[in-house]
Amino acid sequence: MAEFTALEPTPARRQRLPVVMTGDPAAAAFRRRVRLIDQVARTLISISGVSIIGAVLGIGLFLLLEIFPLFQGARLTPGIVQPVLSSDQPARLIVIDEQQERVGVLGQDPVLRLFSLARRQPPELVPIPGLEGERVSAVSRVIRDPQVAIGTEQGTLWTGTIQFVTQFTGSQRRVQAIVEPDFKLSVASDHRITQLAFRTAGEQSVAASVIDGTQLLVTRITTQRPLGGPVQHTQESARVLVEPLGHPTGVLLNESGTQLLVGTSHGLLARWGLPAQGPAELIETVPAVPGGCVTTMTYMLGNRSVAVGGSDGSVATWSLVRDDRAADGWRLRRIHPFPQHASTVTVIAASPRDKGLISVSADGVARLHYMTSERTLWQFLVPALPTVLDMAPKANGAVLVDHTGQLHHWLIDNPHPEISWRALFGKLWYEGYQHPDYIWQSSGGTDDFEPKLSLVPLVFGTLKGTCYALLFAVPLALFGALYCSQFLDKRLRNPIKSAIELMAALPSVVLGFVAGVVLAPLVQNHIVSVLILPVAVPAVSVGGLALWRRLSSATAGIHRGEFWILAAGVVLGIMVAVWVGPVLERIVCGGHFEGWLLRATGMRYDQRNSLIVGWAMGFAVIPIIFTICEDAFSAVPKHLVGASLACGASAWQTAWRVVLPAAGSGVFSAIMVGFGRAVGETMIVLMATGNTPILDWSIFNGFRALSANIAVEIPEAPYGGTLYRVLFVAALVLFAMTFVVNTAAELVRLHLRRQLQGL
Amino acid sequence: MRPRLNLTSGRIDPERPSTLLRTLILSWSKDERSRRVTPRRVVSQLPIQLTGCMLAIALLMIVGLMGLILCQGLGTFWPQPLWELTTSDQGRYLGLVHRREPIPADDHAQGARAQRTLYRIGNRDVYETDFVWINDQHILTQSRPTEAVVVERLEWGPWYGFISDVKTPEGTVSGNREQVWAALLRQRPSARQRTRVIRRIERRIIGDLNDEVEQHRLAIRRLELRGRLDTPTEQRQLQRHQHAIKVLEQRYARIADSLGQQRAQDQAYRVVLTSIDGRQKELPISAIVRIHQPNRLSWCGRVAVYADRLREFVFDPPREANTEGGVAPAVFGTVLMTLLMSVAVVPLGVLGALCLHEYAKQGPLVSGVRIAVNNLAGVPSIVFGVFGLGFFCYLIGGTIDRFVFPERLPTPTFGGGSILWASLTLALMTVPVIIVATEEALAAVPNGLREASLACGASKFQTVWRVVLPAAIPGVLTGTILAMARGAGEVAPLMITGVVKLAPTMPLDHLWPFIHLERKFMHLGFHIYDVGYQSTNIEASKAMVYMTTLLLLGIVVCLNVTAMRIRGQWRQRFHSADV
Repeated sequence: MAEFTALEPTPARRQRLPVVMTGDPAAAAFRRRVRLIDQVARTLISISGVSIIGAVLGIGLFLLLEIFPLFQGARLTPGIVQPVLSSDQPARLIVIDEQQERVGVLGQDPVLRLFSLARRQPPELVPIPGLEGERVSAVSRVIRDPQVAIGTEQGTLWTGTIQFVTQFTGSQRRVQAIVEPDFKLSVASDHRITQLAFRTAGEQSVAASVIDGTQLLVTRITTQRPLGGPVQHTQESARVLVEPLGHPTGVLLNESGTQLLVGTSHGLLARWGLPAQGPAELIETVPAVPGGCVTTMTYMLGNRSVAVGGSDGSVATWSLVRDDRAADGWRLRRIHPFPQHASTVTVIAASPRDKGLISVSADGVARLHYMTSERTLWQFLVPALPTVLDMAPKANGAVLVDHTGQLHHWLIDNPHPEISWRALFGKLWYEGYQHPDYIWQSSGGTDDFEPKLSLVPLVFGTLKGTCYALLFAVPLALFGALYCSQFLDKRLRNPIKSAIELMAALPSVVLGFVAGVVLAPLVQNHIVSVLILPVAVPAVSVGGLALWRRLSSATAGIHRGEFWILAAGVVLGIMVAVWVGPVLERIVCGGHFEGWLLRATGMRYDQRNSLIVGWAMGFAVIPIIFTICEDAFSAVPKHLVGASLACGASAWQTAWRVVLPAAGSGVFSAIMVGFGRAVGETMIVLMATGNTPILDWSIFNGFRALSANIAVEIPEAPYGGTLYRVLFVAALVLFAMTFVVNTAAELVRLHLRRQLQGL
Repeated sequence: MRPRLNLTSGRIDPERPSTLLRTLILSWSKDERSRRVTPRRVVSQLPIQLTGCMLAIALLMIVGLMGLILCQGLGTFWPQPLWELTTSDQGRYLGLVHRREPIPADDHAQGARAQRTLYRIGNRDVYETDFVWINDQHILTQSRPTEAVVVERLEWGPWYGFISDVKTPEGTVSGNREQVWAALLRQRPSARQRTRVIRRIERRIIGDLNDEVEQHRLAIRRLELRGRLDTPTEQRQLQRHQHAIKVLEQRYARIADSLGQQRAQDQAYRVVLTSIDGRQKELPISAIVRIHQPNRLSWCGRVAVYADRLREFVFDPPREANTEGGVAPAVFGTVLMTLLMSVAVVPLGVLGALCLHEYAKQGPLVSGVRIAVNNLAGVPSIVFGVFGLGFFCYLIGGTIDRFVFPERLPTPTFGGGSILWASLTLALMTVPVIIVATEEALAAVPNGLREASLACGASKFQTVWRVVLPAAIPGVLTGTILAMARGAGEVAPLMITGVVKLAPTMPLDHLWPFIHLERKFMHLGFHIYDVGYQSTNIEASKAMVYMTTLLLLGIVVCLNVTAMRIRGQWRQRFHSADV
């Protein structure tokens, strides 16, 4: 009892105790104080305890709260409504500035009317220079490009730019539209241009115009800018035979102006090649709207996908997909369908910021979609049928003019359109890919980059690393623990246990460094030796022991020094493997393993691969599994072992058939805890894998794990952005994985304890 | 069907305990007599030996890794001889042997057994590379020139070569290498003194001035943000700050002037270095960190160089993008962060454990919470890092910034990573460790003690405070040390909540309020990651990484061993004091 000095009555207590017994006022006050302190302490401890535990458990909740906004749809707030055109004049073009302060509307008159979106004001008129007296009938415009081409009823093609600039007069800022003409040509004299597509690539411009709604005319314009002289334009036009396919209802030109895409009244999409010389060549036709007609078409951001609306209400995006069987190696494929509208789709506008689009149908239903995730984020009713529609440059607003000449403005709050469950965990068809796939690629070089945020390759990487780590660690730790608890000399047991526990103290960054920087090059140079280690080491070690026994004529029992002989045998085995490896490499692989591997199996060899990670993570996991297993084996009641041995079973039979099954759930729990540790390991996978997010089980390849991915990407992810929240999803997945596995392990462990109590 | 030990019910017939087992085993080896045959017994030993082999492998791994780190780490600072080589392609090199290896199988022409050696030839500023591979059979002559000098410089890594001149305002010493060497050694103390003075002016005086100016600037910004600058008091304040800034700027100009003079004076003392192939480089004597002639050093001299390098490593700040110099800021950051973490985590953990074990009514809810807390110890550290970043840095830190330090925005004060948030994140991560350890300790306190105390009339709190907790202190201590060890070795959550590769300022300095919890800090573990993994010159920085690893490992292992010993003693005590 000497240790518990606290228990011995201190002088103070010796004095107070009798006082408490009597009833004098000082004692009563003392008692009150004690009671008060007790109450306060109880409340404090309870509150703080509960709040600490609550806070600890609140981590999961916080992660959930952070990812919640990902799955919310968009929010639209209606803005100003004002008349901009008389109802007999259809709108041809609408443009909006970046701050959503001004909007420009072009009707049939060649005058751009500028309206304020803040309040109703009389419009400011900006005439289109050179088009006086003509009537605008078609406009072509590409998103994120100030260039505009206008076709008129008189068959004139006008091109130029319309741009918004911010001007400062004093301290007043004003957003002003600037219209600058480039050139004007007559392409179809006195015939009405009803549809127009226009592209410029260097000196060459191409215009595709639908004349009178039936004929398709491709005009090639060459611009010459001689030094000192006036700019000269030469044009040559050729008709494209579109009649067999129906009337052209939509025309688009690709970015370089070498291909023409036409939607027809028979519901077909036709693709023509426009060679520099010679007539247009029809490459392919695909049915886009079976039984209906294509009503509207527009390029999505990046000019790779085309959104197509049909008279049956269908909306889909089409893209060129590599196909070796096709005539020119590409084929138009419908890669993202959206929910069908109830009636004809009349207008589609693509977002200039992301892969979003708005489609409006004849019954006034407008939908905000996102191409990659195929999500429909918002649906709203348009009061009257729109004629033109545009999204603000930051994709945070939309303006449209309906057929009665009213301008409507909506503010869009659409923070995370690219995320859906399918985007995170399913296959999606990304632009430029041949088929839907799981891809992680969170950032790209250009603005029109399509983020690919599938967590599947990362989860796969985590599981792959964990699997290889457990494959390496479980036999070593499990059987090592069995030997340690059952066969090892008792005097050695504690030092060895301590040494292995010390292994758990190794910081993982050290393991990562050793694995990634020291071991990886070493293993690459001695890969064949490393591959034969699992055979060579036990063989040499056990064989060595047998040899030693024969030489020293020892009995077949378990000898004290046996372990050291085995250890020496392991070292010898490694040396043998290092010696045999190059010989084997020369014989089997012709002297170069990596080349042989590539030839024989098609597998690449990465220097930082799963083999290395398996070793390093195994190193981190072994002490955990070992300690828990060892405890479980040691806790097996001795009478079971004794009974088994007394019945004449050999030591191994006892260990294998009695001890191991009796400690089975402990072993299971150990493996689960080891799994949990390996899943969450960060520094090792960060430093010892190449961090390439690929789906490949090969042991000679690297991978990218969830944890390493978070560590790499979250410092660069802007707060509250999509990537930031997706990384929170990754963290939540990790959290859930380990939490579930650890809970299972804990339950099994409790079960084991109860079971052993029964024995 | 074979009889089996019924493990689900876990019961063996108590009447005949061995019957079941006997049947079990007999059914397995049908012919009992055959077991006496020796070869078969050897075979039956095989699995045991295989398991022994597994244990040996595991043990060898830990021993090998420790050995690797120890050898590489401790050998790093030992001065090695400088070799002068001439090769068959007319090359002359002077360098240290860095590593030897057989020539890879690709170039077979020279035979499989050929060895090559990686020499560190230094002089990165003139050679553009630190290292060169030389095949052994290409070497014509090899010698160790006694006058060869290793010059460790502030920039461009070491110089291996000779010293040709020492230039001082009093005159130039050149010619005889012995005399030049002696002259250089004579000049070194005064050069060191000059460096110290210059550094003091740069760091202390100018740094403090800048800080003061910044304080006044922030005060002005604060006044502006308040929006009403037209009241006389505020006008007066504004003028006062502006005046102060003006005065400080004048002082700065004076100091900068004197600093310029000091520097010019310092630049006048120069040394000319020559490489083996005759290229020259001139630099001020004060740019030399350490200088020695390795081929001439006695054993004692080597020890002295080793000790000096070790001292620099532990006590000096890093140089050259962390690949040289010391790790003092990282050691300091690691220790401070661990201490802050412990200060936060111990009371929290102990209160939580007390609540769980002493106050809460035991039931399925409490055991559920216990399992949950237990499992949190297994939640990946990076998840805590993400939580720390989102919750502490952005949510709490951002809110503090908005309301307390609006004048500093948009530069975050608490709104980014900092040592405070990193410590709290780790505290949260290690809370389960302390809760579990404390609970274990509380459970080990015999109930008799509690009952005795209560029976004597002590209140619950008195019992807990005076009887139970003192008895459980060793357990709490063990938990604390384990938590510290885990915290000190953790990197992943830190690298997103406040660790940087190079912190310009320490979280603790002489400027009020002395401890700056909003600052970022350096950490040994991150240092390893940064230098070992992200450095461009890995070959040269490997040595530093091994040494850093050794230091970190030393700290973590010491903490762990202490925890183990405390735990061991404490267990013994309870065994002896079985109540």
